[in-house]
Amino acid sequence: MKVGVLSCKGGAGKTLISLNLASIIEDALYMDLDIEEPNGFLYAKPFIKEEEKIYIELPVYSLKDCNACRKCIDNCAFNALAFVNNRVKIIESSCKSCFSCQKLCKNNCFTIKSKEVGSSYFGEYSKFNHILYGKLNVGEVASTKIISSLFNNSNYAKFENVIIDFPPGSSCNVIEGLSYINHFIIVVEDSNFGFHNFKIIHELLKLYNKKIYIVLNKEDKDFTLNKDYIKQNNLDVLANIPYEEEISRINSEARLLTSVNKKYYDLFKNIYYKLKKRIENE
Amino acid sequence: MNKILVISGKGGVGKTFISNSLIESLRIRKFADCDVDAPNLHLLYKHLKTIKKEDYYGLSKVRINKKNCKQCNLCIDNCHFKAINENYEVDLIKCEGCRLCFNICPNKAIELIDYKNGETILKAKDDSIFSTGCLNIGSGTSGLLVNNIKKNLDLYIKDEISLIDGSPGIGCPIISSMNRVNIIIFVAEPGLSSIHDLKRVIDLSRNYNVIRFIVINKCNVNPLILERLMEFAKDENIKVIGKIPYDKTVNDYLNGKISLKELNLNVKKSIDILKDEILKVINKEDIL
Repeated sequence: MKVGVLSCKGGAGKTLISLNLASIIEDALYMDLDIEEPNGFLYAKPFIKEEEKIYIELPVYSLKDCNACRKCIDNCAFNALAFVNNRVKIIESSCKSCFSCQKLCKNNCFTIKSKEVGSSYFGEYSKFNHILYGKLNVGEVASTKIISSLFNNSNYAKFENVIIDFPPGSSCNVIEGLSYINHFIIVVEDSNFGFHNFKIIHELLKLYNKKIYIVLNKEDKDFTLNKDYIKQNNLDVLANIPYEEEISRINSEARLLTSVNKKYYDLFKNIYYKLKKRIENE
Repeated sequence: MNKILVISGKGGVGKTFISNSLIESLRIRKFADCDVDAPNLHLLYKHLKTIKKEDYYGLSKVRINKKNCKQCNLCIDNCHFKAINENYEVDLIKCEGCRLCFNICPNKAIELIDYKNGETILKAKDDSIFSTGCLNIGSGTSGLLVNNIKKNLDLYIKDEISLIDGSPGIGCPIISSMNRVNIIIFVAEPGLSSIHDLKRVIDLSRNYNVIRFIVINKCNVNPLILERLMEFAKDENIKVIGKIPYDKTVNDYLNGKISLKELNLNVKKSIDILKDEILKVINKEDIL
């Protein structure tokens, strides 16, 4: 099974749920798509076996045959080109690599170069458990390129069981990962902010016709909006995890709950069995 | 004029709570929520009335007019975003709006279409202005939307301190948020994940000419990691100007059950101290 874990709201418990879940599945891969702020590796402390640089392509301009027609500048939808001191200047941070400039230039002033924007890492953190994660270089904006390259990494295909820790939010980074996966756990933080973001991500997954399961995290007995919404929408809840000081302490030290306490080990085993049964019965 | 941005790297550490506490305690009249993927600040300002709502259009996207299309495949072959399939249908989510196909189609079969990505919303009450917005479900281009929300903030009240509640991460919405602010408040919690993420967003902020501070939220969750966080701040040479303890009343407040006044006394005191520290900075900066 390949299951994505998302929440829209940051800090709802995506990494907590996905990594602890992956840790109790034999021969599973934990994949961290939060490439802007990856955290899973802090918990897993893996032995890295493979590291790959990730590149994007960018146009390079050469003045030699330029007749200053400015066709490239006029047609750059992203305003990534400017005419400065009688030559074209490329603002790389605005460039989306569409290569309109190169294709439209009659004088072949543009070539293509590669630029490193991040890396992917594959490793193991126990005899049976593996991790694949990516890191965007600070200052770069090509997040989606790193996410797609993780799915295209040869290690991703090798594993039958993959738990995928999604980035927060609901835009490009999340959408980039959606097309690869059919089953999702929404981690719902049991709060008003959590509820609001839960609705956003639920709508998004419905739009893409995904299979949805719920884990309610930091359960607040006095707060009912999430529980009501789950009931109204007939959503399948795999577990309710109460707010416990012990969990937040262990989590703050970047340790796996499943390796600290049998109670938590059983909790995640239970989530795994439920999930497995549901997916097999489809 | 002072523009304060509140960000954290990691999500869920308390950006919105700290933003809200500062807006209220400093009586800030101009504030914005730039977490366009997952906005939440408006939930604490339900009593404000919407005074302006505008559709937000990103770049025009394209549609293929099959009557004119001679199936030469030039558009498919040259689209760097693989947004056009073999039936000459355009995936509007993949299409970035670069118009290359529009420009190179020999048969004028490509039409430009407006594409609504979300909306910007301006709310107000008495003399306060709150600028926010949201992306349509399934839309990208959040960087541009952040710019528009920030522009809206200056429409009615000029020359006054403003505060922006930012998003997690280090990507395009954050980069847009950082433009033209002069004070960044990093919210962190005593956790190894938070310290790791904080480091990355601090590194990103080095390209900007800003004054930087750290506020530690939930400071009582783990004393040992708190020490690490304090050491980290020292190494980065960024002053910690506030430490807010975790208390269940904060959740109750954010869930709308109690008012700010009913927060736990220690939480209230720590917000007061933070307010005074920021006032010192603001007064000094305004003279500059």
